Amino acid sequence: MNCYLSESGVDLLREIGNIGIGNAVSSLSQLLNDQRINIRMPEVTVVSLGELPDQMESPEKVVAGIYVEVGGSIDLHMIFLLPLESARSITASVSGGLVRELDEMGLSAVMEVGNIVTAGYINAFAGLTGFKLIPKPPAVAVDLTEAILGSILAEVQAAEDFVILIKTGFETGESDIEGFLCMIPARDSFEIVYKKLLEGASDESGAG
Amino acid sequence: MPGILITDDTAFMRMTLKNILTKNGFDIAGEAADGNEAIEMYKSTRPDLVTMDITMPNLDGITAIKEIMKVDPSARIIVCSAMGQKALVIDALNAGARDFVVKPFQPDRIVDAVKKALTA
Repeated sequence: MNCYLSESGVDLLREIGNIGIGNAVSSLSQLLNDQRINIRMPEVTVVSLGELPDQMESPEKVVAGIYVEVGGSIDLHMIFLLPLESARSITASVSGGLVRELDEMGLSAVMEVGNIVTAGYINAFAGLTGFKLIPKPPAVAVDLTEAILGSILAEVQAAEDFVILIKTGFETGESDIEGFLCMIPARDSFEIVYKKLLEGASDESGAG
Repeated sequence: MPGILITDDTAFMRMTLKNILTKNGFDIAGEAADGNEAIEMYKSTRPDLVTMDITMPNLDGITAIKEIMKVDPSARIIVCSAMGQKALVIDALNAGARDFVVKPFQPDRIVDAVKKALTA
C-alpha cells in the first residue's frame, strides 16, 4: 500500500506539518515572550531521505541540531536545525542575556528550546490523531548540516524513506532567527495515522 | 529548611527554575538530572516539594513520581514538562502529581503552582 505517496497522503502530511509547526512556533514565541515574532509562511514539503541534505540551503554550514526520537502509539523522528547565529540569539533571549555562548550551558539552553519546539509539534500531532506520543530525551550537536543529518539518517534509513520537511522562518525585533524542523514518520506509523484520520473524516461526514 | 527539589535533565532548565524560585523566596533542596536522582535525593533531603520533568534519560518523570509516592504518600510533586498531551497529564496526576505546568511557562505560573501545592 503506497498511500503515503499518493496525492492525498502528501496533502495529509502537509496538513499535519502546518498544524504542528503552528503549535511549535507558538511555543517558541512564548519562550521569547518579550519579543514580537513575525512568522514567515512555513514551507512544508515531502522529500525523500536522499534529497534531504540538498534541500538545506547550505549543507556545509555549521548548525546546532536537536534530534528527538518519539515512541508511543506510533514511531517518528524529529530534527530541529538552527543556524549558529540563530541558536546564539535564541539562547541569549531565553536566558535573559545570561547565556550568550554555545558552551555547556548554552547547548543545554538550545536543547531545551529544541525540546519545547518539537514538543509543540508532537502535542499538536497527538491532539489531531488522539495518539499518545512519548519523546525520548533530546540529543544536541553542533556540526555541519550534512554531518548532523548524515548521522541521524544513518540510524533511520532502514525503516523510513521520506521526510516531512518544514522550513520555518521567524523574525524577531532584535535579530533574524531561522530554523528548520523535519519530521520523519516510520512507514508503518504513517499508515496508522492515515487510516485513523480518514476514519475520523468519514465519521464526521457520516454524522453531519 | 528543606526547600524544593528541582528535577530536569537540562542544566539550563534547572538554572531557570532555580532563579525563578530563589527570587521568590524559596530555598532549593537540590537538583536532580533524571528520575533516579530525584528518588535518591527525595530520600536524602526530604524536600517540601519536587518539580518534575517527564522526558528524562534513565528514568522518566512519571515513573519517578510513582516511586516517590511509595516512599512518601504525602509528597508534593508538580510536573513541569513540555509534553502537554491530555493523556500524559492524566498519567501524571494519577501517579500523584498535584499540578502540571506546561513549558514554555511564565515564571508566575510556576510560583503560583508551587505556592498552591505547598499550602494544600
